[in-house]
Amino acid sequence: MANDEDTPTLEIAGRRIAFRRPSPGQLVMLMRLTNRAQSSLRSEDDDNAVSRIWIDLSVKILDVIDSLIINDDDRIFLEDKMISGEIDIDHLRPVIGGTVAAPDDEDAPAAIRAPKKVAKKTVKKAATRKATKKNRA
Amino acid sequence: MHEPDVLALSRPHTVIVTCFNRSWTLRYNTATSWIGACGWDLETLAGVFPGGIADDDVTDMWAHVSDDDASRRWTNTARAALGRASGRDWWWALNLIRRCLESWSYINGALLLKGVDSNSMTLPSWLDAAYMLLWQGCDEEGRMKLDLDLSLPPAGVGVKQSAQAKRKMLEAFAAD
Repeated sequence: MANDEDTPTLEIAGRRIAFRRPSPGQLVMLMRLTNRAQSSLRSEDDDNAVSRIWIDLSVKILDVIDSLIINDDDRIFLEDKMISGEIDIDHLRPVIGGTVAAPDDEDAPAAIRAPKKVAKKTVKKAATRKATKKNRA
Repeated sequence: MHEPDVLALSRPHTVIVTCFNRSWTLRYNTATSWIGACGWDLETLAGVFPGGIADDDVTDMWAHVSDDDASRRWTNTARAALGRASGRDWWWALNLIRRCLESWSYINGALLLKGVDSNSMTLPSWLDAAYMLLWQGCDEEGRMKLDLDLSLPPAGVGVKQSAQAKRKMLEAFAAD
């Protein structure tokens, strides 16, 4: 991912996008948030509740990724692609690195992955919800 | 030799700090927890704060995760927390922890042989034991260097000197 030490870039949907590196504090908060969501997911059987937890987690992660994008044009491009469903949060995972790892799944590349029973469309919903929230503001 | 704040040493394990106009409780009970939290990032101490906040506070903290000055405020708070947890100047505790982490197998091993287990001790007691281990292993010159190294705040960090520290410095100056 890194081209330059201060402004790493990532190619997403044919476009090279520059990000700031997340701070150690942001990384530790992502880890705490993901661990918390995962323990909620483990104890939840209801599909709707699982979907809600996952959407909430995705919106929060997207908020951080959003704040790390350097150019406004790139931010709009990524939001469009998320809403259209062309890309999902897995594509953006390298931005925050493998720091957000599953505590009980040592060989998982990263933990930001929707549980099996949650359809990919929940991530699209998250992006839409985030965009709506932003437009209202 | 650095003198700890005796009152601070008698405080309970819970450390309460203020950041973003509210208080946050850190519940690292053992020396291991504090050392691990510091070791996560020795420069920003992000493992201490916000890494050490309670699960129930994660959502509240999330509201500040993208604030422009969040990193600076987190680091300042983490330093205050380490100072309170150790009962000493935060940089003294951090310097000692850094030094111990650099040769963890040796220092932890030597301490374990003496019955000092960081998993079952509070941070102030463990710091005392680690300091004494290093101090005993030095000659007179080495001890002076050890004290000097541990008392040195990180480069570029301005620290407020306590009235007690200022008085001690003046006394030392007058004694020369």
